[in-house]
Amino acid sequence: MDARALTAVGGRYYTLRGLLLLPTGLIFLAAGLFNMPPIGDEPVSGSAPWFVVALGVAAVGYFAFNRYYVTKFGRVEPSRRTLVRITIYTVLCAAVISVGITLDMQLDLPMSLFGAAYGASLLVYYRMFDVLRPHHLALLGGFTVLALAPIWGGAHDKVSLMMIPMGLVTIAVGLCDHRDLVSSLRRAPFAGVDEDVHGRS
Amino acid sequence: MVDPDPDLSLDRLVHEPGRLAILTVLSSISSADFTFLQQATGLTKGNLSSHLTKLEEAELLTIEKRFVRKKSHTTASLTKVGRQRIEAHWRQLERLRTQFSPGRRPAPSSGGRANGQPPET
Repeated sequence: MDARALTAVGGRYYTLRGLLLLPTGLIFLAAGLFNMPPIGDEPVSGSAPWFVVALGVAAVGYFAFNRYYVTKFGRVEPSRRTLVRITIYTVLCAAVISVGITLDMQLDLPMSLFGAAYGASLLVYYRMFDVLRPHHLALLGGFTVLALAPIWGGAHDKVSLMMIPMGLVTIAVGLCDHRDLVSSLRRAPFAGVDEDVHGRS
Repeated sequence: MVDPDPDLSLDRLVHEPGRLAILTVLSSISSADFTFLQQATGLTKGNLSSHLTKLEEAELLTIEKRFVRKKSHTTASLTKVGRQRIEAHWRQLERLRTQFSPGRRPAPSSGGRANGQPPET
């Protein structure tokens, strides 16, 4: 019996419910696409309804995926310490990403600090909660390098353009997280043998 | 009959593999429901239910039952005593593993108890 694996299983489950990332990725994708031509060329009244539809689909998707996890794998309430860590880290990430957006809009740099901040923040998040996997390094690391490449300078709306690959990467990471979670739970039972209360197999 | 060496004794209530798995899973989280515990431990519904009842009777965990849409929903969480017992148990296992690892002579018994926790044998 692996004590470390057993101790980590609750936290891993809470963090790696990857399908919950899909609605977030969809919102990024929608925000990027609906701010870009041809839809982004229309007046706000023309593109806004599409974004509202995307938000609705994302909300329904989040509810459905959450229900799927609860029904199939159960419900876990993390410790208060973990919740505090998640909250603090989420606020810090939001602050760093906001700084990235502000700098991208104010300075005409050839790279995207917004994208780099997002990719690096997620990498640190997965590392902090001990669930960093090779697919995170490949997808998020690759995305961060792409964001730092000097190819974004001539874009009309760099932030919106960056949201398109950001949405795709978020969806890909979510699908890989989900696959990783399902295969790790399939490797159970951690108990080794299914004995009855009297120790009989 | 020779009395068991307290240094080598294990908490039998906790040491049973199914119960050890349940308590270890719960040790790092606030609570988990029946479905998750079943997924994580691989125990059958009947055995998981029996182990949970036994652990609740020993006051190592608390069980909350409620009905959601006419379906029973069971949530388990460790008590303070349960948390202390599982931590002490893993420390004791680690101590025994270190003491009896190859190339290391077993230390003479001191007659004391590991970590101040009374082992239930």
